[in-house]
Amino acid sequence: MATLQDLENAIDALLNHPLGVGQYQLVQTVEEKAYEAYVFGLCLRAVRELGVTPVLRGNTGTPTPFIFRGAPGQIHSRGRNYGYAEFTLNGYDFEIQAGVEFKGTSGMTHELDVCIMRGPDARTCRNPQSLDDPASASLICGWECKFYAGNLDKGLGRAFVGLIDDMGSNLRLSGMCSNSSHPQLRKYFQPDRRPYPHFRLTPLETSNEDIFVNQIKGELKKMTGA
Amino acid sequence: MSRNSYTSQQALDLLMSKLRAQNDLLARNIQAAIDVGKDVSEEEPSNDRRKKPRVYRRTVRFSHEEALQVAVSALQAYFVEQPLFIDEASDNFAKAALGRPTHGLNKWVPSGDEREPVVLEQQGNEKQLEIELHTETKVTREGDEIFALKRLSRQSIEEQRQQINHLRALTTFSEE
Repeated sequence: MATLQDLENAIDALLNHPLGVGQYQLVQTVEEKAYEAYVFGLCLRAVRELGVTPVLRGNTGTPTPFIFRGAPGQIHSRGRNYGYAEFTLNGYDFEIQAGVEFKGTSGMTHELDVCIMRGPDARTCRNPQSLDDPASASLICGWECKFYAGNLDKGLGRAFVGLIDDMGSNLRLSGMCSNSSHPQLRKYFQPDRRPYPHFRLTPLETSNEDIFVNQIKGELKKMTGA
Repeated sequence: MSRNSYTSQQALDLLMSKLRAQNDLLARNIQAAIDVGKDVSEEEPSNDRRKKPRVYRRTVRFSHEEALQVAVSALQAYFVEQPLFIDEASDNFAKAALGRPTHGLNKWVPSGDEREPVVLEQQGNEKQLEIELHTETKVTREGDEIFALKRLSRQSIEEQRQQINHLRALTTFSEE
């Protein structure tokens, strides 16, 4: 029978481990962004599994290091060498971007945590003669990424549905990605046009990762006739 | 009969006091996850025997044992999942190639029609991933500008995973 001392020892071992409280203090300011990096990585995996090598690029040169935006920003920003990835599938150019703002159909700008967009549109927006936010029509896939230690906040789901509603009809795939879940949000996302709930999307649930990756592969294949 | 010599309330109190002593912000985050409570379906029998009972949703607080499981899951998110996100991102970035522009000093003007010519390098090699801390629009600049995502050893992650599983077992009271 376990005693209170056994429990105390187990808690101490967990909290004092190198990946315990010390690690939490280190990464707590970037926990959300680390999750975005993970989802971005899953997009790279999807592209790779389509037989294409994704190429990491930077806004101002070779991305060494590859920098993720700390806040929503503009695709043409040269404040830092922000990273993105480009790939070509069956003659169609695409880019994977993180934290980039798009112009909604209403004219309001919206940030997509991670997205896949048309490559030519991205390049046009970076052209010094035509610097601009990309139009919603250039967006192919968009995901909201949320790291949560507890249940997801319902308001996030409502806000993302509103965002997607303003992104026009070219958007083929959208989803809310989180390591967490929310039973009511799952129901809220049930209607056909609503984002896909990629809940419990974490390396601890590899089947959920496979669903996410396969959705991207399927949609890109369909779109490009690959 | 319980498998532990302590109650779920004693276990929760001990865990939360240890967390508060080590890191107040972490303790508050976990307390917040617990305090959300849960939805349950309540049934109200109808006076009319021919009618079905009325079912409605009610938000209630977690039991001490449920709260313990919420806390352990939250700790798993911070101590196991976070390092795994970085690890898996690093894996996927390593398998991508770096694109180095080949036009040298000639200025390349991006256009919709043509992709910038690049040579592919470093495919299969570890890439350095960084997160911007001081964003473009921040006025004050202090502390670090960026945060480097550093891969942690798989062995350490596995150790924490085992410790979480151990803690979960010690905070489970119901007999299976």
